[in-house]
Amino acid sequence: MKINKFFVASFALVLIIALVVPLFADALVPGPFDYFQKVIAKAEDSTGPIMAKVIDIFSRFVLGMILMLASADLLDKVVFAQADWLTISESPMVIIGWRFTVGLANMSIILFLIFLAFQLILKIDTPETKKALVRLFLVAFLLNFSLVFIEVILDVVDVFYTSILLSVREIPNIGAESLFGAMAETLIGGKSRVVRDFTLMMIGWAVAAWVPGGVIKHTIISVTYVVAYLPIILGWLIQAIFFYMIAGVFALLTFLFVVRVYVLQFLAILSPLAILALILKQTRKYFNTWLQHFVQWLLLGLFLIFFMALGVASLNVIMPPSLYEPSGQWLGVIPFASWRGVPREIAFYFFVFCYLAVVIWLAKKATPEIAQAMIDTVKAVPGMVWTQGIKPLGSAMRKEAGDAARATEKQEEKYNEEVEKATEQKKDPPKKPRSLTVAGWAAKRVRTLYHWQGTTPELEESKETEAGAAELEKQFGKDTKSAMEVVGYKGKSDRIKSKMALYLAKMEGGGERGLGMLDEYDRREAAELVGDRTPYNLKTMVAHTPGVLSDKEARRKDLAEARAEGDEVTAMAINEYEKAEKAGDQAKMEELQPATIRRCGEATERIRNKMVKEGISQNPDGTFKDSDIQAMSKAGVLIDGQDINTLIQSDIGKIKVIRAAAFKKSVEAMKTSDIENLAISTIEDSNFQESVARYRSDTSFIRKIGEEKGQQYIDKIRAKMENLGAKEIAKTNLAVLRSSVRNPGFRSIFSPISGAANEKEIGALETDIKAKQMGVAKITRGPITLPPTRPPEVPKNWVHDDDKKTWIPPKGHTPRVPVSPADEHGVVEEIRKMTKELNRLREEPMKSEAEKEAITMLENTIKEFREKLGK
Amino acid sequence: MIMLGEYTKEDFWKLYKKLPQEIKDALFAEETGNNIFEICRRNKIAKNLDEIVNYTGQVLLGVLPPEEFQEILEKKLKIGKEEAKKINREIFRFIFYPIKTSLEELYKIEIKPLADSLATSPEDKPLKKILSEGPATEEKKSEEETDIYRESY
Repeated sequence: MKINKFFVASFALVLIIALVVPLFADALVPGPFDYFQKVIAKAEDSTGPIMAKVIDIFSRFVLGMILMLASADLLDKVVFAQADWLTISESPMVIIGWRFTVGLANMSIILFLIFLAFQLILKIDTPETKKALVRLFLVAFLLNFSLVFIEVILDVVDVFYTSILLSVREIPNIGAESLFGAMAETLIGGKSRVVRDFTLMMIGWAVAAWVPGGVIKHTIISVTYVVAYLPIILGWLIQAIFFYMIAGVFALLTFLFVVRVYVLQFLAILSPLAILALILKQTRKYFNTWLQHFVQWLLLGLFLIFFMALGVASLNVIMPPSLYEPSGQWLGVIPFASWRGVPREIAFYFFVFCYLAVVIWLAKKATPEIAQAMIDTVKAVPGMVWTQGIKPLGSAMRKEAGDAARATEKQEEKYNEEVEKATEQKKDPPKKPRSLTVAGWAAKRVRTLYHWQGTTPELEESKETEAGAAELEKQFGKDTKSAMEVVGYKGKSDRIKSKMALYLAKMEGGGERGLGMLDEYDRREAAELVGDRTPYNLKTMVAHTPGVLSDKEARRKDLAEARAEGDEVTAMAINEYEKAEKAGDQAKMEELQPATIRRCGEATERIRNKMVKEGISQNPDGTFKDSDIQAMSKAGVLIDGQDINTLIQSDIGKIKVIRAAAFKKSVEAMKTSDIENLAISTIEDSNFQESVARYRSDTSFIRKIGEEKGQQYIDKIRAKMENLGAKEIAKTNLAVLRSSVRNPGFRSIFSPISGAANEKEIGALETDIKAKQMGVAKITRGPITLPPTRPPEVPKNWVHDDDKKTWIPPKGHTPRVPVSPADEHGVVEEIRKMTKELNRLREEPMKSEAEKEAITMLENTIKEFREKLGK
Repeated sequence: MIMLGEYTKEDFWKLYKKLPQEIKDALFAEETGNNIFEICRRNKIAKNLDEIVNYTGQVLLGVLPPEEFQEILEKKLKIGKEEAKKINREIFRFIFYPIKTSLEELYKIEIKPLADSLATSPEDKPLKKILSEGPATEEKKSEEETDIYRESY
């Protein structure tokens, strides 16, 4: 059977295009691809990971098949054309070249003849002179007929070639001019096999798409996958490996056969000079070299073609039935039966593998030296093309694909959020754009490709950004201004921007020569870009420019932009909002807030949300998912006088909580060494000062601010602390209050604040916090649960009812069931501890307000516990 | 020389900049503050914590020679000689001695350890443990005096 290679190749190409290329939607008339699209989209929901692998393997299989068919076709053409191409007497190049060399050789013979004549005339001849004279005549004869001799030799060899090729034609399944094509077809197993496999795959998808969801769907998919898909996928995998390998061998042979034609032509041109070299002993070696090359190139491929022909004949004998019997073509569609052919198929390919290994070894041994050198050169050319062209281009394409994949994933996340929001609001969810479905599918493929390389787009981006920043550092050092002039920021790609931003942050932090060189929006964008590509740097970026978390600064920028662009609505909204803020009109602020946000405000919100990914969401037990918000809540931190639980009731309150948590994270992430590059505007930022006051307990941090920036900035942080009050600071940073009293160095630059002026006051604050925490613990614990211990002890006069398996009190007496002493243990222990603390506080000579409050609280709590016990 | 207790924050920074790094770190070390507090608590002079912190800081800043520390305690804080000696000994042992070399450079003097404050190295035991053992007895002192293997200071 003769295969129509172009049909197979074209069909495979259409399949690939149908799977990969995005399709245009026509809402009214569904096209044929809509079906596939729908099938893919539906099937992916449940079979995504499996399908991704199946499609990847199938794509490789098809690509390998195309490569093998193309190389086989080319090789067939080259081999069958050898005889025509080597008719050297009809080649103008050979004739012109040969005439030139034969003229040159004849001239040399004449000169040599004159030389010999002089030897004889002058009687200075030797016995060798006469021998040379004989050889001279012989050589003169040979070189003038060299082209005829060579053509005769080529014709003789051609007889062998032709006889082998003619014998190949008698092998079943081989066309008139197809030897390697026949072999390729045999390995593919016929076009009907490809059609069958693909149809089976489509049936699987269709089943996956249309079967109702849930367990049934998954079961059907799993069963279909195992009984029908797996043998096919295994087949594709094995075949794909062979296809690439054979395509490589065929390409090498094609190259050698083309080269053979030119080499033999050149050798024919040089033949007169080679024969001339026979005259002298000293030059005879040149003839030998010429002859050696001539014979090698002449016989090149003769053995290969012979063995290849034998191989094709053998393949037909050992081929599994499913590969050549028409009845076996559709064996694969029968579940379980498809597995029957797998061992035979593996055995078949194992044979092919061994056979090819022998053929390749022979080819290598029979390859002439020049051919080997040429192969090496040719090998180097693709290497150069690879390193200089394809690799950088491929790398760039891969990066772009990675970027696109990540962008698509973000869009998908956004879409999912919208769907979630719509579901919450009981509205119809927005329709997923088709472009997003296709792009999402492609994004998964790109991610798979990255996965195969043992990496992810995120990891690659992160490495590239870090490397880019390091490169800038190497190139410009601390001269950030020059870097900005040469590389720039505005108008550059995100990739360059992120590198530049990271470089600026590392060199000069948020200072005037660092991120301070960027405007308000660009600073936010820089933080976002760096955070996207190197998430671990986000906190530090924000710590350098905490202003990026501030809505106030964002509003200022947005207002300027709104005015510049004539956006009066936003400008008015911002003005009104600021008025409401001054007036403390919370309701109006809440109403206006969405209208005040533009580019800068949006970026601010995004950065905050990235810093506090969990937002204000809570666990089922009521604790906050974000550890910092939970810590703030637990400590009872007040933001603008309100606690966290109150704040999260309003939208503005939520923003305040998230902003405070974001500041906490960034300030805590700062290293003492970062202060060197910290912008003055950062230290002057009220939120920054508050975060330092609340959360930096290490005196070295504040000391460094004094060393690097001056005492006045320490005074500002202290003033902020004073403003917040000792009670508020003590909730999160007792250590700094203690250091201001005990530490000789710190005390000199940071005098104790009111309410924490000495150890006694600090001790009282600590007691207060502990007492409150105990109160909080009681509330969060909910109803008191008594520990399960021994079975309850009942009064002795109670009677046990064995039938009802319970204790019956005496008639006329219905006492309260007492709690056993063991059950009381936990509660009693709690009361004991609190009473001890209460007594200690009562004994203290000085009673601050905080202490008095703590005493009252303890008294109330103890009372409550006692009531619970009914005592 | 700046008079005791009269230096401002600006003066502090001027003096601080000239200090060896070891003393700078000791000035701000959390351990320094905690040691002073423990010593004051142990010796029942918590009411004088501010002053002790202040004078210790002055020694570290280079404005009060270490050998005058005990005298200052006696005169300014009006505490008995024995008590002042004990406090001096403990401050010396836990704060000044670990940075002895830097202090010697600062004051251009040679600091000799107090005989009864360095029976063991400060690193050997934590402060709380040492303090809880109580003051060295006369017997222990005599033992130390007759210990021929002890290296002379």
